[in-house]
Amino acid sequence: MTAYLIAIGSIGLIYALLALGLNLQWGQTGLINFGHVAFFAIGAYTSGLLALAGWPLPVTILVAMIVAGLAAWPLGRLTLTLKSDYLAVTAIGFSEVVRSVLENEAWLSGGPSGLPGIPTLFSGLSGLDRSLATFAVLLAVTVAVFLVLQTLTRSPFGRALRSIRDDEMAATALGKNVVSFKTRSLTLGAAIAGLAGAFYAHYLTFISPEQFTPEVTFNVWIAVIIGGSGSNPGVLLGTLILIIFLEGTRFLGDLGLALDGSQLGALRFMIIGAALVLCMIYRPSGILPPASRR
Amino acid sequence: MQLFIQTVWDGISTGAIIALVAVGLSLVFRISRFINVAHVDFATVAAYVTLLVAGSTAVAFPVAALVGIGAVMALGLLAYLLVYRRLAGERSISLIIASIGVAFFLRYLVTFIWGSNQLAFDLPVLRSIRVAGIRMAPFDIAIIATTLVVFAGLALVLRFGAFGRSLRAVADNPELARVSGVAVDRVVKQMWLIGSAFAAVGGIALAAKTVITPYLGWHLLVPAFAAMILGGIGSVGGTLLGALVIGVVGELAAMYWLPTYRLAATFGVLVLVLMIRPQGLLGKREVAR
Repeated sequence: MTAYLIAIGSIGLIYALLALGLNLQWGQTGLINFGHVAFFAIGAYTSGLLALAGWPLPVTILVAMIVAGLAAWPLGRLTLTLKSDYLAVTAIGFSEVVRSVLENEAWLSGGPSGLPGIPTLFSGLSGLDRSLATFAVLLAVTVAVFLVLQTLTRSPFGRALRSIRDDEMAATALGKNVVSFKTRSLTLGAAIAGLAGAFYAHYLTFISPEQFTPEVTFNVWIAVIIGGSGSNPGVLLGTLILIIFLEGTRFLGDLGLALDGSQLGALRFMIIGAALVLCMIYRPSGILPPASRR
Repeated sequence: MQLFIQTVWDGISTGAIIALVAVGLSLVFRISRFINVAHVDFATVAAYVTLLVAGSTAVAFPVAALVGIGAVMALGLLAYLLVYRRLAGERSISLIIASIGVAFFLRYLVTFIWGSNQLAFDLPVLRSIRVAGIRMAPFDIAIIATTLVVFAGLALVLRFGAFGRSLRAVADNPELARVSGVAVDRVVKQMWLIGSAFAAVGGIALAAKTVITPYLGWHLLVPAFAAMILGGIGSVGGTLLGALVIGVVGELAAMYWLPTYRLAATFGVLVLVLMIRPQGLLGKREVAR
């Protein structure tokens, strides 16, 4: 039971990092990044491959963040001068291309069979001790990212992002370089997703392209939207709700519902889809909206 | 050379299908001002409904296809009335997020009912004809012909018909259209019916050409979007041209590079267009309002 809870907690923290990154992009800046999973994947593969090549993990994790952030930069330059909708579909395309490259370029990524044997954090420890230590590090990192983002939110940079989100033309009129701010927000959020990916790779020790489908992106989206777009504590609450939902529905099969495994999975995503729609209509600011809109 | 021409022909037939989906996406974008991501999942639903009707009744396939198209037109209108109309005053970013919710809901509803295995229509295999050494499946010829006819009809209706005039009025300025006596709500509803019908025809055509999976439409999202942008939003002829380019580039990449890089090639075209000419080949530059 303890092992199970630590496992859920670790995955939950990885999702929390993803959600915090997306919240900077969507919640603070209003960027529709529908390709979040791409940066998660880039972070996971970067850190995993470098660690397999013998690099020390703190370095690989840092490099994973940088590479994921850099990958977002051209996407931002490309789409952020255009209609805001363009980013949405272009990012979906980007994430699907990343996945197909991971599937096809087996010399680099191991192809569909994935990347086994990725070094773990704390390879000196074993069993429960190791998972507990990894969980502690993840918790510390998540708290650190949370605090940095909270500070950023209150800084002039955060205010500029929100002014762009709320009224882009007014922000431009006030002399803000809107595209530059948006690109920085996208890049920073992607770097946080890359960080989440690196921990994911070292936690699972095995990654493959099928772990990085668009479904991951939309799990993160629902966490951000349910919790409260723009509010970092809200997003953490949203992640908690998501994890309880994902884990809880796992046991629905035990309730004697006449559903097979794939139907259960489908039902789960039907609920997530419906929840996205209902949230947008009835509660677009989520359960814990930001304290003030300014 | 033979192989190249064959591949281009295959690309044109794929492009014709992309064009059908893309023009619906473009029409809805013009009138409701957001990219309805669920549009491509309407295509998936049409394929499954057609399969259901064709498989469980004795009706001929074209009749089943008509039922599929009708069902999806109703679905499109329903999505508009239940979801998108409620968000009409919101910014497009709220609408696009709701549309991805609708997309997810539909895709997994289909998965829930039919599972995720590949299915196919039970259609007779017709012998391909050879023209100058190129294999042309009768089905491909039919879909290209259908697309050309439908596009010609649409272009005429939009340019000369009373409906086209109302549509352009609503697309340009809904408030002005309303005070000028255009029944805006009715035009918007009609637009959703027509747009969804295009998605349905495209979905059924793709299903007949390949196989049916819950991801049938999803794989059309990037090509259809790329075709819409490449052609220029609001230009029917441009969308057709853009879709043919996308189709041909995709098939060439599949033939000479890797079949699974069809999407990557499509995405590459999209990136180039966004870099060089975001208003598209035949589109006009839009002014922010």
